[in-house]
Amino acid sequence: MWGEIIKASQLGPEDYDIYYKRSSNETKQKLKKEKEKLKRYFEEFARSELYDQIERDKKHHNLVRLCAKSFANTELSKESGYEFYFAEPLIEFGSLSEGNNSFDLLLFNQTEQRGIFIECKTSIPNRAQKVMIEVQRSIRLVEAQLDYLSNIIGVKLNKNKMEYVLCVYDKDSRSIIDTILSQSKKSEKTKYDPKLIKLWIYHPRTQVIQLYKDHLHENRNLTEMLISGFSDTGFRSKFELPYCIRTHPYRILKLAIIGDCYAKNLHDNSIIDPKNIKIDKIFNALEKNIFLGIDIEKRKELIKDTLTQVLRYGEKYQLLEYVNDEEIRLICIGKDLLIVSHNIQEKFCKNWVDQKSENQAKEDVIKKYYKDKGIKGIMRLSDYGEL
Amino acid sequence: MHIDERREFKDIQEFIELLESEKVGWQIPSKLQIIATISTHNNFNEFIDNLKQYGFIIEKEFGKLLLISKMAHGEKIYFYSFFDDRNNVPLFLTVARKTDDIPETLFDYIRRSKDISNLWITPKVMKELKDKLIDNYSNLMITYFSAKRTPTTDIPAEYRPEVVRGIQYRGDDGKQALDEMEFYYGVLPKIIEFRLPNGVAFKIDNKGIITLIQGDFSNVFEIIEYVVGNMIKLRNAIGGSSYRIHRVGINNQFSNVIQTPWSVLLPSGMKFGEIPILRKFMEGEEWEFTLLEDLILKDKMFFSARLIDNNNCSVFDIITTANRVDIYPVEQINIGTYMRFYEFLVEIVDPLAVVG
Repeated sequence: MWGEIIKASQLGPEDYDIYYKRSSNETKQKLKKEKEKLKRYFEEFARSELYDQIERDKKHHNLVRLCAKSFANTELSKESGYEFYFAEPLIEFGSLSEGNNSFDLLLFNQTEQRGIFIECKTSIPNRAQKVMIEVQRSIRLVEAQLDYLSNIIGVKLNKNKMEYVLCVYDKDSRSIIDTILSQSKKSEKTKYDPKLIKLWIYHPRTQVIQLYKDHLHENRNLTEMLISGFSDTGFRSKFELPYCIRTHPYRILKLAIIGDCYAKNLHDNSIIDPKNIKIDKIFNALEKNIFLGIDIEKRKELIKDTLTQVLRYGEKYQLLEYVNDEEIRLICIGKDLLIVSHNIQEKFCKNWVDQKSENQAKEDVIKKYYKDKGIKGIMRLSDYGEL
Repeated sequence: MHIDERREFKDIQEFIELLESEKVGWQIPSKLQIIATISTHNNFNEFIDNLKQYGFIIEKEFGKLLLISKMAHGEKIYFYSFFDDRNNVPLFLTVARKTDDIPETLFDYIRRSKDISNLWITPKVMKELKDKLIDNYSNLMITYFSAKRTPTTDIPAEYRPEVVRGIQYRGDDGKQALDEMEFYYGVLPKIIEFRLPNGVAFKIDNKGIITLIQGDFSNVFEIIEYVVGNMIKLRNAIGGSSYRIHRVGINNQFSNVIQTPWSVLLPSGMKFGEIPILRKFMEGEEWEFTLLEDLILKDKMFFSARLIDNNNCSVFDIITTANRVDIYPVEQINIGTYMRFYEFLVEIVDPLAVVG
């Protein structure tokens, strides 16, 4: 809005750029010097933030896969009757937008017509209650879309036959249990209903999934097998779930574009330059690996959106560029898969850290500048237009 | 070698007999290479189709014996190939050069085809082979060997066991020297050149390539039989793995992919500190895998990864816990890639690794 008065705390890196442009040479030098100093300071934090983001995503995905694995034609799936149907149920209802939530997996028992929705969490914040509230939001979405889900599954679903699971690594289970216990004591269950959420605890060393001892599933066999801890060592099959819609875009880029399309291009004699990759091929790779329970057209649309996001992300960090509407090109040195893979990784880390720390430094400098000047409210700098 | 055009070889014994009879009138060329491989072909015809697919010309057919050729740097490189259908083992014989002719033709085929693999000889099997030959010929000579000590090995060494080392030795006292090197330096053999008292001399390496220097074939085929016997369990385990579409739902409307692994047990176990070494070696020049993505859970000894074989873009997943590695196919099974990965585990992680 033209001429809007904003506080210094609302200033962002773009305000720095505009202010820098219209500053005198002397001020420019000062701003630049200060920004560079702060940027170096922030680099280490940015690197650590990126590492955390990627690791968290990998661990989350690993947990999702391991939950699904327990139902990959195993004794548990046969005895309990539950089978893994698809990942990310109801993702099409804007789960990618902030404030919305949906589960990671859907298991379904065809005979009993019961469903289990599973949410996997890998990093539990200090206030574990936040996680429970998120799960409650996902439950609300399922309850609101029960008729829609009934159409997809082909069975009229009954709200009372749906169960909800939160699955965490063993190290995170204590804080969740404490939260559940404390909420159970409260008379009012406004934030979330602890009775609705069952806790599964995953022990990575033994690859055992265990149901929390005070929780019960409606299916007795499932409860018994999960209470004693299920590890099907004789049958170690797993579902292939390399990535999902919500997977970090860089991981999709690495797995689908480098690991699938580029690797195949290298061994295809008809391709002159393997770094030029057809967008159709990337789409096919995504379609082959993302398992969703929605109709074909919607699925294609969702995958197309994901692909666009991944390509934009790659462009933002200068890992790729559009050759034309049908083709992208990897921007990196070398040809061997190993070299390309390492080079893209290094470049991504460098550019991500660079952009993040640069923006953080710009923001801090501009905020500091206004605070130092003692100005409490200023016009949005961008409103001045190009100066 | 002259073979009657009408002759048809039905089994390996007939072929060995031919080689033996030929030997009398035929001077065995120096450096005759016998390359033993192992395949997942179900029959001889599948093998022929596969050869053609990778650019080999079938020059002549004598039953299960083929004369095949492929162009390399402007000249035709010839091989005799025998398909032993008792265990689906293709054998290749050639006098082509091991340094450039064979790599460009046969090794390129083995590397790229998903259905055929080198007959990897693990250091443990190589040592057993050596001991077995010494049992049979107590006065045999070892005139050359190459041996290695790998970074994570548990094999004892008198001197500086923490050092990764390689030794190449030439000398008529190789037998004693190899014993000494094994004891003092904790190395295991990868290549050995034997001279047997019956006049047979040959060199064998860990990729199943036998260079016949002098004499009789029968010892060579005995060795191949022995190594193949060791590999059949591995090949069968690999054959038991799968990647298949699984359909569920009232109308089978949801499809997922189930990966069933083959497994390797690590009796010596893998320690958490060894994972960085494992990652480094995987991507090294010798093994040529690309680690696309991995996940390590500290304190849990859990390591999972997606790997690509740089030679043929074959993709597979692994999940390891302290004493086991599960290998999951992605899209298709590639015997060459898996055999090489098994060899990698034996050499780098645990020399006692066995198929689970």
